[in-house]
Amino acid sequence: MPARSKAASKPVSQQEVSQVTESPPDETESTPDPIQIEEDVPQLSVFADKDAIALPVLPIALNQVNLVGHCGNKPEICYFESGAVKATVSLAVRRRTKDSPPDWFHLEMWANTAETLYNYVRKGDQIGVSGYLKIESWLDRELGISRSKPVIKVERLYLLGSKRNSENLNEEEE
Amino acid sequence: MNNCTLVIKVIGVPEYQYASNGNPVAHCIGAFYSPYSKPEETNPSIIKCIAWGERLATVVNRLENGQECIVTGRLNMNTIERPSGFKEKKAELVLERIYSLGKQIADPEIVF
Repeated sequence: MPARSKAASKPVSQQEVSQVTESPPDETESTPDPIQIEEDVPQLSVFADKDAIALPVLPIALNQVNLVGHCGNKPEICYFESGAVKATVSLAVRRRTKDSPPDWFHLEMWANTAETLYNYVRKGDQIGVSGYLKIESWLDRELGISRSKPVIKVERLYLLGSKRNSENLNEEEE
Repeated sequence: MNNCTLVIKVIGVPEYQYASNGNPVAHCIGAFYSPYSKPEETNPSIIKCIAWGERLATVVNRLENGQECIVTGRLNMNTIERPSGFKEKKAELVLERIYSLGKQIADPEIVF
């Protein structure tokens, strides 16, 4: 470093210039070789590509269901040993045509949403839900056939009934 | 309110029929995935899609096997009795709109 500062401040002779020009290679020995760095860069990108190839390709899963209806039963709650909470309820949704029976949906929700449903929703209450549809299928061992059941996995729950109605129901229960 | 949006992959060949009142109706079977499905979970769910009316039924009838499309509509839950004696619920989607993914639907005049 002192050799460089002198070279910069003073006018130098040819001998000194040769000394100065010789010195930089000594300094570069300590610093990493620039060619090595360039070699490293493509290697890293190769690793990144490998990771990208290894990742599984998921199919497009656009799946959104919005329902508004009335609960057909009292919500059932289940506490698991792992600490997870699951609540289920049946939801009746009116069809557009008059005098036609409603569509009954099996709703399933977890965690805080499940507890909210269990604590605040009673039979007949109006709720809105947003979630996704899943057709659950399993093998019935007794009958030896495959069975299926459409389930709405609820992500958001909206309590739509008026406050007065819920208060009246609570009083009746007490 | 009853609204459902799915990306389906058409399985098999759609069917075009006429109902007892003379209205055209088309059926197709679609496979769809649910979000958060694990990579090893490769089995998609299957749903029957129904399109009422000449315009929509024509579009559904022109869908090809393996074609992917976005469908929106109303979910119907039908209770059917299986030969084993128990009742089972089946979901079906009554279509309101179809958006083709990638491949154009055959008739360019029909645009949604």
